[in-house]
Amino acid sequence: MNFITIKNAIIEILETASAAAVPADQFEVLQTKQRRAGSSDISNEKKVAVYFVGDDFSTDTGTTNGEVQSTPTFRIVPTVAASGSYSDPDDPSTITSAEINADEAWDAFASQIYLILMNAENIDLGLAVGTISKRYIQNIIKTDLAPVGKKVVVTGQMNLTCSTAEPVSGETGVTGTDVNNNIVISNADADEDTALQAVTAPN
Amino acid sequence: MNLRDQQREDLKIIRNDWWISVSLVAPGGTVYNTAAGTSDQLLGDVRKESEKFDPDIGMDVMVKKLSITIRIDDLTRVPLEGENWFVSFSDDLTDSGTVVKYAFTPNNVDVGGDSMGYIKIFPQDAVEI
Repeated sequence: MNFITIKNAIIEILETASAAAVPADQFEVLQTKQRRAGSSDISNEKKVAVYFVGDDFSTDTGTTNGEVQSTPTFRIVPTVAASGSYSDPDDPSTITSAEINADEAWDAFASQIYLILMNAENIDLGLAVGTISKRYIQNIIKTDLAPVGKKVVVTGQMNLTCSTAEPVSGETGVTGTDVNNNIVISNADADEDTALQAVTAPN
Repeated sequence: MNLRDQQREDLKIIRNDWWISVSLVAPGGTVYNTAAGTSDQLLGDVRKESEKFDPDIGMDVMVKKLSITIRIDDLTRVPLEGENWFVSFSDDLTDSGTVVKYAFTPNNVDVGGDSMGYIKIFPQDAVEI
């Protein structure tokens, strides 16, 4: 189905953008829904998971055969982890907390991901023109922080939706019979008179 | 001796047998590495554990939790809200390992144990910039 192609296209766009970025802005793209992620692993490299969450199909009566309009939704999950920092190793009052560093890092990362996906050049997500339309990110949601931990993990989600025509295949069951429904319409006076006579004949 | 006093005495025994040396640095740079009023090393119960956190995004995040329990009576100065502190201890949780430094912030101080005479802090990794 189309959502598989579209999901792979999103992953391809993100991976290409990461490879082209400077090292500090690079990230790992997780190509599936993860069961678990570790804070140390996340801290080594920012991660964004991409997975399909659902599809809504048109229920118009005209779509029982042939292409079906649908709006698949994909979840984009940027995740970062950060440590605290300090400028004077002998004075703890110079500490910037890990919460602040992680929060700022997630904001920057989420912005980076949004701008990649919503870049005008990616309006078709790299697919053939007409495969999708109206792609947009509905929302960005930042989640709560883990209450404790050596590193602070910040994660959240973006829901990307687009429209596509889902082709369906297969036999419909009965081959129809050809019907010749050509209608010859003449505007010759003689024919019109004849028709009039035919209608008025009983009188 | 009531049960609360007994628990505090038991904590001293556990401290002496099990806890490791820790060093605290208060805002401004004052170092506290001895138990209050003594020349004995300041000791803390350092634990490293993993904890699952569900951020409600469809997957769990495993965080490494570091906690240190210290007797309040051993503290010359108790960390207050609004302060940032350093804490150092041996990374392999022996008295001979490499000393590492972490930061902890007041909102990470668990004061729930103060009725039993101890505080519990949750240090975080910190790097010099």
